[in-house]
Amino acid sequence: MTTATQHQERISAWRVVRRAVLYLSLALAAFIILLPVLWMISASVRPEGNIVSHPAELIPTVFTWDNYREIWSAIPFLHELRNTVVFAGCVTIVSLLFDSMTAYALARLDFPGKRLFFIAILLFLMIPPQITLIPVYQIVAKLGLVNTYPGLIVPRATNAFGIFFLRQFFLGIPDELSQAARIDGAGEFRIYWMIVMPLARPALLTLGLFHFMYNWNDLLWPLIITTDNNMATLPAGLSEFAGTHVVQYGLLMAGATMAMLPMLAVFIFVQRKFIQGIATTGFR
Amino acid sequence: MKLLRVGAAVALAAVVSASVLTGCSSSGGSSGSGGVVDLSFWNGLTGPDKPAVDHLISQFNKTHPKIHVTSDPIPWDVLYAKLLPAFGAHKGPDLIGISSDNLPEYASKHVVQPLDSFFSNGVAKSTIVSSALNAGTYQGQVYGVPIESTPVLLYYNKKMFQTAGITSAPTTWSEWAADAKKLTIPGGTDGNPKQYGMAIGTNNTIELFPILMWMANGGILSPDGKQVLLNSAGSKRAATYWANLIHNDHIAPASLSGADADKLISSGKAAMEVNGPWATTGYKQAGIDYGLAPIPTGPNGQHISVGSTTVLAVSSAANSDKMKAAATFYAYWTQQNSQVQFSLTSGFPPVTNNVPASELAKNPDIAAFAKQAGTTRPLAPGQTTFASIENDIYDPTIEKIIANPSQAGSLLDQAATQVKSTIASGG
Amino acid sequence: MTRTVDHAQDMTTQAVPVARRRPRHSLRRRQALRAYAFIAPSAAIMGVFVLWPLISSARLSFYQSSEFGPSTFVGLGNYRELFADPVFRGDVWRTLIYAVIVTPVTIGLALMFAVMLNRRLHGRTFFRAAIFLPAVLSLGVMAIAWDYLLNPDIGLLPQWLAPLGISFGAGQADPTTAFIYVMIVGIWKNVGFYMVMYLAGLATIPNDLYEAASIDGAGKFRQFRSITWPLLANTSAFVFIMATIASVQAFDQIYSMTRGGPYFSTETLAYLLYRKGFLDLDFGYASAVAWILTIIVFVVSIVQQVFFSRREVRY
Repeated sequence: MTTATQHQERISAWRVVRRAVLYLSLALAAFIILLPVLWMISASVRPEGNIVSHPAELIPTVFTWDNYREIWSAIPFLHELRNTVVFAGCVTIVSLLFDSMTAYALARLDFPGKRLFFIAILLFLMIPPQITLIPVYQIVAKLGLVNTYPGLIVPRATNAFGIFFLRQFFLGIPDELSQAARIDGAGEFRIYWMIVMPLARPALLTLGLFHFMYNWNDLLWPLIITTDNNMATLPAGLSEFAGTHVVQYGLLMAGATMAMLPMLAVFIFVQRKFIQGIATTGFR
Repeated sequence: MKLLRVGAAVALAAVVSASVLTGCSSSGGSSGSGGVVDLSFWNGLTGPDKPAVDHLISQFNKTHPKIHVTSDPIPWDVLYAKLLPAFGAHKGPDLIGISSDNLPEYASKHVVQPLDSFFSNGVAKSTIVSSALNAGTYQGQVYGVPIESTPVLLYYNKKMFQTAGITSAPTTWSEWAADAKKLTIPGGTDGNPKQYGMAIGTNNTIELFPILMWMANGGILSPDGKQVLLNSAGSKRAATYWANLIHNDHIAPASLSGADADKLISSGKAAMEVNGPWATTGYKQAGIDYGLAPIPTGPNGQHISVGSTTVLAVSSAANSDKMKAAATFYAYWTQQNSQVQFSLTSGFPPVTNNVPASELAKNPDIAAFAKQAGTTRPLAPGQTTFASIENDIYDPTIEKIIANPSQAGSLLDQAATQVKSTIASGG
Repeated sequence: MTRTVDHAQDMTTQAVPVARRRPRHSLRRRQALRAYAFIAPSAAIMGVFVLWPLISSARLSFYQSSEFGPSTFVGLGNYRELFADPVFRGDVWRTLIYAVIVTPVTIGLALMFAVMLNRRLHGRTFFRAAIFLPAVLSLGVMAIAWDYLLNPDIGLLPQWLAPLGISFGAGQADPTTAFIYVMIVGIWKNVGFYMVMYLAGLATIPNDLYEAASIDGAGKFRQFRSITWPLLANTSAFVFIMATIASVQAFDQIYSMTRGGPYFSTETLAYLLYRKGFLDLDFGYASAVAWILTIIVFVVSIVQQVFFSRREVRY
């Protein structure tokens, strides 16, 4: 009897140690990964003079809320926040729709030219984005859509990355489900919308998160397409703190911290839904 | 039946996206109302420069109801990326505020027009600092008028000087080198000095090495832009002298960007730096008690500095009404009280030479910069390929020389060949 | 039902073939039309905003152009200049080294974190958010933070790690150290991104498989090798291609941190593209670089895709 309980104790002790090591290593990894973020937050609550004279301080010795106060008058933060939400939000919603439709066709339907189309998608993925910037600007200008929301959103309304990502996911959904529905007489769009999409919830949430985040942080594209300050997005606003020769570090860090919070919230929300989604789909 | 379903679905998708797009409809741009001349002004004046610019422009708009200037400050690299495509698509602005070094590119493409008519429309040519005005000249005509212009000076940390027993700022290279060596104190982390004598930026910065080369009768290009001086004896001498000081005597870290050099000064890790007036606020905030002095003279004994000038240029697409309005705007800009206010707010010396020193007494630093304004030279006069020369050839070569001072001669020869072919091929 | 009838008829008459072919042919055609309807919006948008610029930039690579005013045809001139330029050759080399190191490290770490954070854990959301956060932040701002952390003279890490004997030397001024910095920041930024993708993939593997395996006595590593890894093949195919593309296209942190310096030692092909296109305004040359870059990525990725499609998991 003693050997059995001893054995049990040893296993549970070992498990505790393993757990502790796991937590410790995760905590260390998180700390290292978050170090620049910690610096950023720390700098945002320090006066400018303190940041540049004592750069190597992580924990602030002089504390101020000035940067957060000044930001509202330094740039039209709320206005730019709204523009960024509209831009990132619209792009996300529209591209989730278009990307999933295309991915559905690639993964679950057959049509002539499918292989070629897929290779084209892959090719589009591989093109360095900088090289298409000016030609797309020229097309948008020709269409008369410079400095408009459609001009800002439509070129981004679909995305090779999203198509590829969802295609991989859709491949993993059993064909029998679609077949059964087809035999029952359901139209293809019905199958797509009512059966496959709900099952793809984790992937859709993830992709939505990525699209939102990518466009939230995009500096160059909105700056090139918009010509007046009303349409400016947050990254554009923040970039104004980097002057020709002088960077206003405190204000910049405060702005960046505030710009990070919505993204963080979206991520946590998506993660929660994620876990819920897995539980409710009862997939397999 | 099924086809109908699919068709309906696609139509639905189209309707949804269309309504989303129109729902997110644009706020539109401002439209000129009857009689008011609208001038759109794209410039790179972000950061601390912006409040002074914004204030001047709003004052102008208030006092000139028939003209409305809208400033659109954009970070420099995006601005330069945007300008040519925008002009090409006929969506360019009326006015641009760009660095004088980049002006030739736009002037040569006739994207901007000559501004001689300004001088018969209220702008007194003689009141503008001549070196600043020359910076905006291309092939004999004025294409850009200065809205910000300054030389660079030597900043020195008074406290460090006192501690090292140095009583005054250096006036010659030999004093400068001696002071720098004295102020370099070993014993920091990883075998680096605890304190550097100088902070020298070699990329993305106001260039110091060209000044050093000029002071030895060298340089990058001759003033007429036709001769390459990079591999002249003077250039090689200056480069070797200073590369040795940096590499062997460790008076400054190697390969610093301008921003990193500034950080060294404000954190009290370096004693001297050559910089412009924009740094004064930051250094004051960091508690640095700095002094300003002209850059110490070199072998040819001349006071030389490099000019950092932002010029105002007018699009070729602007009609005569807009040109007149632009002239009025610039006349307002160069008015004495505008210049006084702009100077005091931004720390830049005036672009005009008729502002009495008493007006600027509140900020003594301005006087120091204004005094040296006449000694400035442009980096690459009239060169349309300036950006390419600086980024692709000059900066990397200098950094390589600092890492290998003994090879300065051959590296400069190589660079000279590259510059020649860049100019010949037009980029 | 119709088919069986036709089939029976076919055995008796030769006049039926046309009637027999029509249902199948029109079925396929209808299927194709349906599929086209699905891909129509994306195809239209990409046709205008991706395909056209692609073709136009391919064409531009044979010209000398500043995207304004007339351009001059130079034939293969840009490409000849490219291959003769030692900086370009160095860039190709550096891009490949960067990709070869950064891709597997990033994916390995991402997979490791995903597996660690897939199980029930206290603060799991916190750890996931922490690892993912770098992907969400503006790299321009983070480059400033990293500079304050890594700067050999005023930085945080050299001060903290000096007592442990870890030297940062000349920091960013040293070509090798600068390259290492650029790689570390590249890995740091993307690990969370791929981790989230792996989490999405892991979520599709049913728990009962693991339960069954542990009942059969399989240890954690065995379970990973026989269950997790094979069933992640779809996700892995995707992650590998994305990570490869991202590392061959490495640009952001080089722009924000080193600008390709010191003297081009951290310059990659994507940065060369930017330098030539947006700084020197030589878009013809930049287009040539873009195409060479694309071809490199394409070749590497097709090889990977072929490798993975053999293992594609379909149900």
